[in-house]
Amino acid sequence: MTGPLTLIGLILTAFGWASQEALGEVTPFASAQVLVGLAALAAAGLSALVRTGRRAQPALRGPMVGVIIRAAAALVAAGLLYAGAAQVERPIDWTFEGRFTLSEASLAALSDLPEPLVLTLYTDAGDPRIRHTRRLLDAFAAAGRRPGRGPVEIETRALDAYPDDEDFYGIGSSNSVVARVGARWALVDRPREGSLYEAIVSLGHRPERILYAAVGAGEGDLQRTGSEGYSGLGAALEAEGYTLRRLPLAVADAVPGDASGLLVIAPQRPLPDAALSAIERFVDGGGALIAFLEPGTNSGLEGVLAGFGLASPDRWVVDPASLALEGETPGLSPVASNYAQHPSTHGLGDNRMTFFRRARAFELRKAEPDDRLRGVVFTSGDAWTDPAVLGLTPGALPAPPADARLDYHVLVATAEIERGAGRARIAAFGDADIASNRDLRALYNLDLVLNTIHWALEREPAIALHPKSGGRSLNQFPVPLERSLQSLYGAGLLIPELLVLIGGLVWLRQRNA
Amino acid sequence: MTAFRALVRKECAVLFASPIAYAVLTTVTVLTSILFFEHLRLYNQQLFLYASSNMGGFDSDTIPDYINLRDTVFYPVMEQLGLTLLLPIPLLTMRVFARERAHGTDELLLTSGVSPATVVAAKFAVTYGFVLLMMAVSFVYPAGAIAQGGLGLSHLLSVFIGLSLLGMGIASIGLVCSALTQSQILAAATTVGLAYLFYDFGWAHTFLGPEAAGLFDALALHDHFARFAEGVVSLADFAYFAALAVAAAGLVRSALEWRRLSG
Repeated sequence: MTGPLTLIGLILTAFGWASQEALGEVTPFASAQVLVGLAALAAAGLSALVRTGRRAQPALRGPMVGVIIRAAAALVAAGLLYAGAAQVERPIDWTFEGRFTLSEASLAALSDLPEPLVLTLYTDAGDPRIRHTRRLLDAFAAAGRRPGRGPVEIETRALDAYPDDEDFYGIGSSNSVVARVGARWALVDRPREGSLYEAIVSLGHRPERILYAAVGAGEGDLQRTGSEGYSGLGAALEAEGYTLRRLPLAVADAVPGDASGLLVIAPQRPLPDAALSAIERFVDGGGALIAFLEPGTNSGLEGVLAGFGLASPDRWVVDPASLALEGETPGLSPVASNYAQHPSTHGLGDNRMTFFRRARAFELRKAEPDDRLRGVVFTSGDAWTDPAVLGLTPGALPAPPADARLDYHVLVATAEIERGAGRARIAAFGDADIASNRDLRALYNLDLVLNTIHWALEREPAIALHPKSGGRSLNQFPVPLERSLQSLYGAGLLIPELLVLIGGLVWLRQRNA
Repeated sequence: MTAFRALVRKECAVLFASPIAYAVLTTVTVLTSILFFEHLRLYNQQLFLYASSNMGGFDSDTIPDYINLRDTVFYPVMEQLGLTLLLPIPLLTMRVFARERAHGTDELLLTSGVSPATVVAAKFAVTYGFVLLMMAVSFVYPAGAIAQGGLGLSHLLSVFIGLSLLGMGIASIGLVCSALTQSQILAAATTVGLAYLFYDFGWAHTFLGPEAAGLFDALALHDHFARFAEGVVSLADFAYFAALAVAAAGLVRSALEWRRLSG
């Protein structure tokens, strides 16, 4: 009876399932087939057990029950093993860009939320991007479960099932995420860690600081888009809780009293004496100054910095450890991997480099004995400075001048000084391009710039490595096809060829045996 | 331990004396190489198309997100190879127990004083070892191709760990099927059917509620090995395949003991 029952069970189950697959819906016919088929299989199993039990000698019935119990125990042990491991899940992220490992800044943003965060993923059926986004959201949810962080709830909604949400949030396409904290929400239409981080930060409550950005003498503009502008830095600073205001320093005679800091990005024209005096008074009064310089210009800001001990002779840094940029003279775009231990260089190191596009260096000379001056980012030890590198042969590294001093030159310097009215912090960059839209997201430039500004404005708790967003993903590099083809003809086909050869010899030997 | 070693040696000798082992190794290796190269070629074509000078070049943000090594190469290769493994592995496992039973050598083995647990452990170890060898050999060409880019080797390794675990999962099902019958053909056919059934329970979503569907998904092979394609190595996924091995070994051992008792 066992054999026929098994046969009937298998056939009915297979046909029921195939019918459901073919029609794409559950019909009474298919359901009945599957149910009867499964019942037949169960009956066949039972019949086999009973038959074996009857045939077995009475003395063996006990051990046979033991065998069944052991089989059941193995299944239970397997289930427990799986369930136990699922509870202590600790995924290891082996993706190119550490895609599912949240940055310190994202983790800190979760800690700052006043209410639970709800991340709702809107999907269309069959959208292949969903699985990555869902996994990224799961990483946020897992981070939210750790102590000290607000809970994170993840929802997935089919777009066609929630047309009202589509209108309300302005969702344009599948794979969009709406982040909600209480009644506040933000739409993320290209969900990556960086964009999610910016949305979450915008929903949190952070203590705001007012940061004035100097304008009027050709300074870098925090509102200007395009590669030469600095709107990316402006957006990043606002996301970090800074209120940005423009200060026409060329006509102002003082920095407003509500300023926590003053940002001066590479003035192209000389600043009037009144403006320079305003900067000095602001720093003397304990204000934070963040200055970006460019080689080949002299606006007077260099003199102010020199007065505080951060001298920067108008010489170009030439570093053999430089990024080769098309059309540029080699050596003029240092890639820095030498950092001092300082809050502004938090997390940076040998494999977390920063990139400067034409820079000048600083020489630190204390103006007062109690001043604390630090070089925080350095060139390689083979770098030198050159007073005039323009007009040199493109494509060739400039030769060191006679007075060249090969050394670790300072690309970014900081100072803590006290001139009576309070302790002031100054941060000076030897290059302004590092903060421009073109280069801000390159390597770890954004982290260095933001963390240096946080330090200058005494916001050390905000210092963190930030998630990467925008730009080309790390896993979009071309794989040289010609070499790949060589590999295919080599290892890719040679190994199977050897295996076929061995297999053939084995077969021949068997046939002849 | 001596019995285990002797059994492993004997199983290896039987396995590698059969042309089937080499045929399986060759098929999987060739398929892996061709699939990987073909996807790599398509990926490069798409990348160069979008990055061509009139569309902005490599430094611009013109390349769509979905054109990347993970989505254009790793994931489709893994999906296709995963399905491909459903055929050669049952060919490998079908003979492990069924052949012994058909030839009557299982009785000899079970009455020789070697415990069923030792027999099961040796046969499972050799089968899993062969699956690992098969995936290791298949890994050589993709690793060589990707290493030239300088990035992504760990992600590729994750993909192959996933495939190896999937192969071992299918082998677990195959060994159970082989232990329950003396017909090698029946063992192979049942393995293909069961492994296909367990591969993905997406088809059951239409008539299951979300909770039941979630439970079935947790049991499916695909959901657990697919995460490796994303470059995520998870203890829970390892535990799933380990649990499958434990359950399969337990069932096979019980099947052997049952046969010994029932004659």
